[in-house]
Amino acid sequence: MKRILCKADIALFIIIVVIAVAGIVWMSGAGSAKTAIIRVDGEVYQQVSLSVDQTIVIGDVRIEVKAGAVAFVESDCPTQACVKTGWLSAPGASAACLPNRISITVTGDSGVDAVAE
Amino acid sequence: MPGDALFVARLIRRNYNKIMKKVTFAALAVICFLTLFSACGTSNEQTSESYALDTVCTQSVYGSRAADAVDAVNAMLWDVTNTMSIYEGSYIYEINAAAPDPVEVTGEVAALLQAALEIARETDGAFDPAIGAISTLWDISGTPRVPDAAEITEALALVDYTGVTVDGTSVSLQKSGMMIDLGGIAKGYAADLAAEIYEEYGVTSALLNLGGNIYVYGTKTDGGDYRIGLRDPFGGAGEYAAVVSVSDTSVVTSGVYERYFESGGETYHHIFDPETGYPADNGLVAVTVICASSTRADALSTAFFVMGLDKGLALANTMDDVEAVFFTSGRDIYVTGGLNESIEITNEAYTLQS
Repeated sequence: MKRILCKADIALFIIIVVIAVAGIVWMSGAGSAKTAIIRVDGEVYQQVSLSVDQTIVIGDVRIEVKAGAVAFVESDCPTQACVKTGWLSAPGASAACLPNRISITVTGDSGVDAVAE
Repeated sequence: MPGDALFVARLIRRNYNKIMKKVTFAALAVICFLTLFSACGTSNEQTSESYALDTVCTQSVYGSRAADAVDAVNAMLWDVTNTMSIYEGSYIYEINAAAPDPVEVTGEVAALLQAALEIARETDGAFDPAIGAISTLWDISGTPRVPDAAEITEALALVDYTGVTVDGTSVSLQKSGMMIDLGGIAKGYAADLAAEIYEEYGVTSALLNLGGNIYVYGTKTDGGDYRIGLRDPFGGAGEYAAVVSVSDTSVVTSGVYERYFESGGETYHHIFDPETGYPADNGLVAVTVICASSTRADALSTAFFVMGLDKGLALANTMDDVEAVFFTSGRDIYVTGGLNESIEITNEAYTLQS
């Protein structure tokens, strides 16, 4: 009985694969709770959960998370284009404050690869 | 059964070391396998976000030299911003300031101006690159205001693409005060340059988003088409009303929601009618153009919007390289012949008309 792999080994291997796959599925499920990625200068600054109301202040810009949505609520920029974009909640939705080089993008599956607008 | 369990427990105790060795080995094997597996899908994707062209520019690029391609495209986007914008420091600014005297420009600037003039002729001036006197008067992207009628009349006399002369690399405007504004075509031009860069770097798939102007290079990594949503003109950011499935082409929308301001209870958007000097007001709220040339898609989306549903759709149907989608304020959607079967209306508040 000097085989390299016996039945028990194979069973063990299968059990570990099942646990690992289950773990991955569970982890990706956990990731589907809606979040938004805040980028500064094109780099990820912070990923925030949209299920927790909060305020993020970056310089003269104030971003708020409220009731599952996120928005620029205050900025020192001249056009206020970022604030005018309003509340974002749809997956893939984004807003940006160009003078301050800050963007917000809602994560999640939007059903499309991009939206032409 | 309790006997079996007891037997197994004794077996485990007796072979503890041997079993642990095997567990460790198996676990390592699984970890290696899963790492390799997950790496397959993502190892060569490069993403980037930059703020050129007065907007948010994002890239998602696949290929062994994707990182270099992304950097080259970002450098190009800033170069186009600096040379083609209407602001001080660009060639366009110089041409406008020097009018009616000629200005020497680069071959690229001359080529884009020629392309713009060609589309202006094709659309009988509905797209007019010499709209600058009107667009700067309203100043939608800066400090917007509603000009009075006299100001509009005065500015309209300075809007005429036939007064732009491109002779080799020498460009001149007929009258002092005339102004070129490439805001309706520069992003499209930049997307076409990006496609050339992706090809040069052997990119396999890329999704380029220049402030809502979409360019897809190749197909998705699984070989399927990219699914591009068309923004719901009455919805919020990220919401779409229809979907088109495309590869190797560009999808560009001109919509009233993109840039606008409110004054005296009225909403004024950024798509100006070169005939009237006011925002085009003809019952359309958005027009999407699908065309392999993003330069054309960009300029034609403006032109079709200005022309209105009937004329715009009729012209779009005569163009072999173009498909278009028209959204009306009554939530009706009209499409060119090539899209009748393939467009998916995903928001049931909209009706596909034929």
